[in-house]
Amino acid sequence: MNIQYKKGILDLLVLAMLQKKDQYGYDISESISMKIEISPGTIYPILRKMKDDGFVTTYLSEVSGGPARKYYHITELGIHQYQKLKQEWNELKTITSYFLEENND
Amino acid sequence: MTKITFIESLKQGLLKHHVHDIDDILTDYEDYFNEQLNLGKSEEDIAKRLGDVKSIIKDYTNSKEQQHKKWFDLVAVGFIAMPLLIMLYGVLIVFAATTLVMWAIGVYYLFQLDTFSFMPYIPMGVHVLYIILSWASAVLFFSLSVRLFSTTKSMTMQYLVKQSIRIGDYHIKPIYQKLLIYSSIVSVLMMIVGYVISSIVAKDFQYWHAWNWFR
Repeated sequence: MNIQYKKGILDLLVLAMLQKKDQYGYDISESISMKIEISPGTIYPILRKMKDDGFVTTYLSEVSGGPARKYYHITELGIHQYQKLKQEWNELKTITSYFLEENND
Repeated sequence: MTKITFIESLKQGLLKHHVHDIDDILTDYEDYFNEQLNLGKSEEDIAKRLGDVKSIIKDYTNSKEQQHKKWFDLVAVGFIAMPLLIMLYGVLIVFAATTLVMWAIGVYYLFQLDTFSFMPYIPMGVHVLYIILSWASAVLFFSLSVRLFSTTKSMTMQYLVKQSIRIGDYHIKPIYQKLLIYSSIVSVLMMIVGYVISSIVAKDFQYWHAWNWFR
């Protein structure tokens, strides 16, 4: 897949995961990098950017027997951002399929 | 590359670029190593999968302009944003008070009260227009308050929590937008109709003199 596609959609994917429930940072990077071929090292800087923008917050959660894990939580601002990006994605999808179908004729 | 060399070179790189809160960033990568080690992967493989340290560092420093602006933001928050916010909250209080007063004026004339001698005299019949006018203004100021409150709240979040100068995302329910438009229309309409009708009833274009409003 085109690298630009991947980068453009990452924010939305991350926010979509977080909007369901708080996520362990590792789970975010793993589930995304399993589906679309992207290095996990690319996803953490995006999470950091979102934290700086106020879309997510983080907290450490103790797990019995292991070191504390870093969890991500979506903020109200982040939920707005998610809805905005989702809408943009849907618009893009409609426009793209319009042109694709037209070319099929 | 081992876990320790990976984390260490990442740390040094971030330090060199004055990235703030580096430990917070490192935690993610340490978590990643720990989880993958538990799965039985070698440190070498994990580091390879994470990608090139230099390009990771670059990802964290791409927003470098923001860091340069940091001192500006701090100064601006202190000298511009704070007074501005205080002012905005002041205006908000005035709007809220105006909403209440407008509502009260409507009630005053609705029940034909004469408790306050300073309230101008309005003849029966015409007073209906003034009741509508004051209640429309009450709705107008109410929707203005809601609007201002949403923006100010968002600005407060940006300034005080994130210390950056810009209006953040805010959300106003469409109902308040409609209220704002309709109440302004009704207010203006009532002002014009009120003036015309009052002038006719008082047989004087300056009807406030005929009704002795300013004695």
